[in-house]
Amino acid sequence: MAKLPEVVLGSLDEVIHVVDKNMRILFINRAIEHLSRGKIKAEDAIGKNLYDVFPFLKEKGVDKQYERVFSTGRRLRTEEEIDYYGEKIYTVTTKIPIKDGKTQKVITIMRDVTALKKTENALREMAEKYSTIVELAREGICIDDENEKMTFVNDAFARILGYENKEELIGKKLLDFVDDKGKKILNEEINSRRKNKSGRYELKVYAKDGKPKDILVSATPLIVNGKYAGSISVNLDITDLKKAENEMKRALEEERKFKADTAHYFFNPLCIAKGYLELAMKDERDAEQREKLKTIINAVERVENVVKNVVMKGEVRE
Amino acid sequence: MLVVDDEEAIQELIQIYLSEMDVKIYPALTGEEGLEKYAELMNEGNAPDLVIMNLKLPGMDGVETTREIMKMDPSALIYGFTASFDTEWADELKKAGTRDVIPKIVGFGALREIVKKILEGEDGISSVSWK
Repeated sequence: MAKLPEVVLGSLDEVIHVVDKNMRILFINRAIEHLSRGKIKAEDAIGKNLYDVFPFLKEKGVDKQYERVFSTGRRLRTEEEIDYYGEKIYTVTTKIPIKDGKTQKVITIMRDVTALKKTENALREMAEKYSTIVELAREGICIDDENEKMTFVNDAFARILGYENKEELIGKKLLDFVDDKGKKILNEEINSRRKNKSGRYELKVYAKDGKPKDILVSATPLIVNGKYAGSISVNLDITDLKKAENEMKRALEEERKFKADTAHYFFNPLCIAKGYLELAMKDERDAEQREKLKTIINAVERVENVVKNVVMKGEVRE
Repeated sequence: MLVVDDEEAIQELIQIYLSEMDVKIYPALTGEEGLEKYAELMNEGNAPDLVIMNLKLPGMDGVETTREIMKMDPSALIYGFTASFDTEWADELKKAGTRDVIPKIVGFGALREIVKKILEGEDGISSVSWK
């Protein structure tokens, strides 16, 4: 160790220490002060037993690891999670035997990977959370590759296409589930995605059992390193909504026809009746007869008003 | 003036109510007949000043008849006269070329006043209320 300038070892981020067969610390660099958050000074540790300085190592079975390295003469790489003075610290440690015939000393290089591990854990948690959201979503989610083949679908998407096992859909294309009209729409949309444009459109797909389903698709291109790599889509089953919409249209059409027919079949005869009645009244000299005609015209006008309200306001009233 | 309406009673009432006006009325009971009459009068150099057009007619309806007359004479002055006045069908009549649509429920007295104003070059319909 005398060949290695202490200043170089002291400036490394990794903790480096050397122990002999009795686990006496022969050397330890200053990085230990950072790793121990200032609790251990390098100069205080040198000459002491490793397990006196780091009592928790025995609990973690680290003594067995050193025994292995001394007896086998082979290096050992391990990862540790340790409570270090109340703080959880993650380390990656390599124990390298120094041989003089037999292994006489072990040099230990320990890297503090706490920050990296915490980021990794946070990312894993996030991925698990999003994965749960995707799986629990009521909307069908589908990811296609650049050749329009499905690489991922969630349960809801599989349900739309009538598949119990979503894995069966992997490698298939949505183009296989549409008719000619759907193919035209889908090909136009795929071209848009290739031009890096998102889109929202309605599509009729045919499920595994041949049943038609209406879906509302919101698709976004996936661009990796500036290249088109496929698309991700959120698909909403709007079959029932579409059915209700068509029912509504049919009902409105029927209502329109009813109003048009009512207007034609009622207003024409009423208009003729009123026309002749007004002529008759004009020619009538007898006051009593005129009064009767006036009453009839009034009655016709009342019917006319009812029909007018039915046709124009949908209300049956005078 | 040409009146295209399949109801003979309506034709008769228009003749009676408008008799006090100095206007010659030509009746046509179908769209085809109306088209033929219009062509005949136009060829005589006597195209009608005004056409009153019903919407629901046997055979060619009022929309189609209006379209054909407008093709023949783009300056034709055509007004719809229909019971189905507040419908999409009546809107089609306007799109086909009628200036406006007179609801039949205004009655024949009001129709006479509207026709008078139209022939005087005014908009006769806005003065009549039927709603």
